[in-house]
Amino acid sequence: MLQDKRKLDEIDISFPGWSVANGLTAVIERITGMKMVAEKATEMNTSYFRADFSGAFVLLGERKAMFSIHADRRSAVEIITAMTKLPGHSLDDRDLADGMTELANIVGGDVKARLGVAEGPHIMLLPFAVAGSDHSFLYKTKGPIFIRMLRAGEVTLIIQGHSIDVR
Amino acid sequence: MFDKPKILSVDDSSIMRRMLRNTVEALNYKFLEAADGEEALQVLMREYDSVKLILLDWNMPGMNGIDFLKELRKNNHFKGIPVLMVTTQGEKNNIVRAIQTGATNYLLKPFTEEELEKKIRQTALKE
Repeated sequence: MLQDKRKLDEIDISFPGWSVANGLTAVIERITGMKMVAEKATEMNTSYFRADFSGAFVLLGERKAMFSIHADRRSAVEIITAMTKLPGHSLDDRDLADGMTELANIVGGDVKARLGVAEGPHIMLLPFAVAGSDHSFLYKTKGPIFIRMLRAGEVTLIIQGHSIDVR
Repeated sequence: MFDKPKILSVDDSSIMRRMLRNTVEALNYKFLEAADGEEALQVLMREYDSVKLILLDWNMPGMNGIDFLKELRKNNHFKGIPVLMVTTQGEKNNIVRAIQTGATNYLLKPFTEEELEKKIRQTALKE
């Protein structure tokens, strides 16, 4: 599902990708108790990955960027179950999409606060979700500015950041 | 028949409302819910005399949390109801604004069930 796989190893790390990934791991650990490990995404370690549910948010300020968090169904169920304490069997597709939106909202708030300290105030647009078996995000930009993979046991998340143009 | 005191959750996320419901009902309150500010005002028109606390999300489409709070505090029937503002780290700088507008207390996401319980108890008692 990752966009522009050929360039994965060349992707710039000047954007605080690790900071965002670490923010996501901290948020997930706090709300779910899962300790996720962030690693750089490569063509090899993402080749099997399929996104079934994604949550995304846009931050506008000195930096203009969209961030998206992608999960396969199994990972989405694990994360949302741990986050809400609702039983996994009670979660339908709408719940999983809603949960990924809420995850994006919380992570977005964390990133917004970090960027606010480092680069001045930013505004966050309302987060949103995309659901669909093995979907992908295509942006009209040069490609992602960072991609990170987060893992905890069988749970895998991918987080991407894209610069966006505001015209 | 004894009516349980009620807590109204205003949040556009249905899964968050379900999660909040579990905690609120465990505390022996009746749970009321609304997906945005407009819907919450309609619920309050019917239920304001028994609502002991409002759990209010900040980021919502339509009437957001702060706009709802302004409307709430303008209304003679609703203005005394304690409000627990639930928001993310990104809105931390706006907490002062929320308190000045009439929020009674705040809770930052992500929160644990224990933190939510504690804030509910603290805020409902401020009535």
